[in-house]
Amino acid sequence: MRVLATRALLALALAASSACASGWVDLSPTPPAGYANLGPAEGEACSTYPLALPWHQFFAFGAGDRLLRARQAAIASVPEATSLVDVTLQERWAYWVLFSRRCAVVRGDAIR
Amino acid sequence: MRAARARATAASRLAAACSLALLSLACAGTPAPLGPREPAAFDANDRVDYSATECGAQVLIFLPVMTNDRVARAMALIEQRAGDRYIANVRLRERWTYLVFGEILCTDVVAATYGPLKTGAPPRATDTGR
Repeated sequence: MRVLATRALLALALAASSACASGWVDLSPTPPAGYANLGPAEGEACSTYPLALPWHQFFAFGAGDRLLRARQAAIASVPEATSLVDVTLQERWAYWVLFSRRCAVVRGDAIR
Repeated sequence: MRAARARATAASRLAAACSLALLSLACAGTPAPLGPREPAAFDANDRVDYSATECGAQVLIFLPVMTNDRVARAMALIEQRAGDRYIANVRLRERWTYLVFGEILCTDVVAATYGPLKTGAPPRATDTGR
């Protein structure tokens, strides 16, 4: 009975364990030669876990591209901007009972 | 009898509210500087890449352990190695592994570092104010 329980627990652990990775994102490319500084920019993108239980991994949304989306949102926050300099990245995290969000905030100076 | 029932109801509501408050958590990490800082003056031909990986854990989903500042820790390592070199092209990749009672979160950082401009050479990139 004990062996069966151990095997069942191991099977559960294996079934609930999985690994993922996002793509590579260049958050601070070198600026072009001769650019104009357009002022501060900020963008945020989040990954959402609607059922934040220990097995919430089956319901994760937006985790794979949130850094890219945060950078794009920061650039889009300033009209005519094409890139950023002096970039910072901050992480925010919140948990409400059965709902969890992890956000990336990209700030910097917009340039074109 | 009625008063006792009302007290019990109030107590259970208070307990439920306290439980919800305990299960509602939020925090923010340290902003990590990624460059490229201004003025952008560097020798594009003198490039060395440095990489660092920092991880944290989300225990039972709502207990973050070294999670929110992992990018700042990785950048501190890279800045320490880079010294005075100009840091740009900071590329990030996030990895996460779900376990039964939590999650391991890792961030891989690869940054390009450039040597200073040779004396007399014009800066590669400048804010022209256009």
